[in-house]
Amino acid sequence: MERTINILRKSELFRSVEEKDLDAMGQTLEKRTVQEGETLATQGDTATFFFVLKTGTLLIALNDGKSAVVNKTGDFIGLELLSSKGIYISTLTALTSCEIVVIPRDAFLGFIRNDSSAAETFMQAWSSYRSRTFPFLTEQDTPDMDYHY
Amino acid sequence: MEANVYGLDAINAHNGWAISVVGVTIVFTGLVMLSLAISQLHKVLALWENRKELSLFNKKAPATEQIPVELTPGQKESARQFKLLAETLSDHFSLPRLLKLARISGIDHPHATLARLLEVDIIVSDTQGYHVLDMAQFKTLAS
Repeated sequence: MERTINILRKSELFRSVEEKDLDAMGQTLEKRTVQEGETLATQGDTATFFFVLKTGTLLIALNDGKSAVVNKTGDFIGLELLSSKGIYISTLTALTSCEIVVIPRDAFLGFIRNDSSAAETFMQAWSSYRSRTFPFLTEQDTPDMDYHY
Repeated sequence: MEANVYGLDAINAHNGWAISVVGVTIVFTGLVMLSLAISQLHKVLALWENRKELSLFNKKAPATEQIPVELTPGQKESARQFKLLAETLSDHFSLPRLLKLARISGIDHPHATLARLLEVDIIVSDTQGYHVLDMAQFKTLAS
């Protein structure tokens, strides 16, 4: 059975994050299988998890009818793509059966709040990935990450 | 004839110093090699753990021609239904809205069908958060 951390390793976002940092965040990482049509996050609910896709196709329904589809191993669904001020701003639905890694939001925010080079590298990679994959997503100024995400 | 010698003289007389230096060198070399091997053990274990991803252990798939994309008759029918629904929306339509209409209309497996239409590029992103129908691709695959 593949280790959860190895799934994260396949993501361009997590590739440069050291194992000890992933371990620190990863005590609560969990692998899940969801079925076609299942909803993982609902707009307006309290944001508790972020997600990393292993296999399958997910639909992210944003505001104003906008949406994004992710279907590559390692695609990350979190931060301003999914939540704002602790509330889900998107609805995440599985279009096919999917294998995903679930990351508790608090653990993830703890990781990026950490003043480490790993967190900085991640945020730079995320910024590049977001502008490339979701160019329509509005840029957020983030003086207080907890507040924004 | 050699007289009986003891202590340091005996060591000197029988190359004891050289033998002890060789002995110490052998033992320490062995210990250094052992510690180097143990220090690299985690890499071997990581390789073993991810052995399925190593091309060395993967049989090379024979080079094959790219299989042309095809839809099953059921998928073609669903594609035609999705097209009708998409035409009730604007040119650049909302994917969640289209999915909702498909569910209301009772299309079989609306989620998986939508994923398939995205996969074969009948429905494509306009990069602004909305999607469009690629009519050329639709005619090629679903007509």
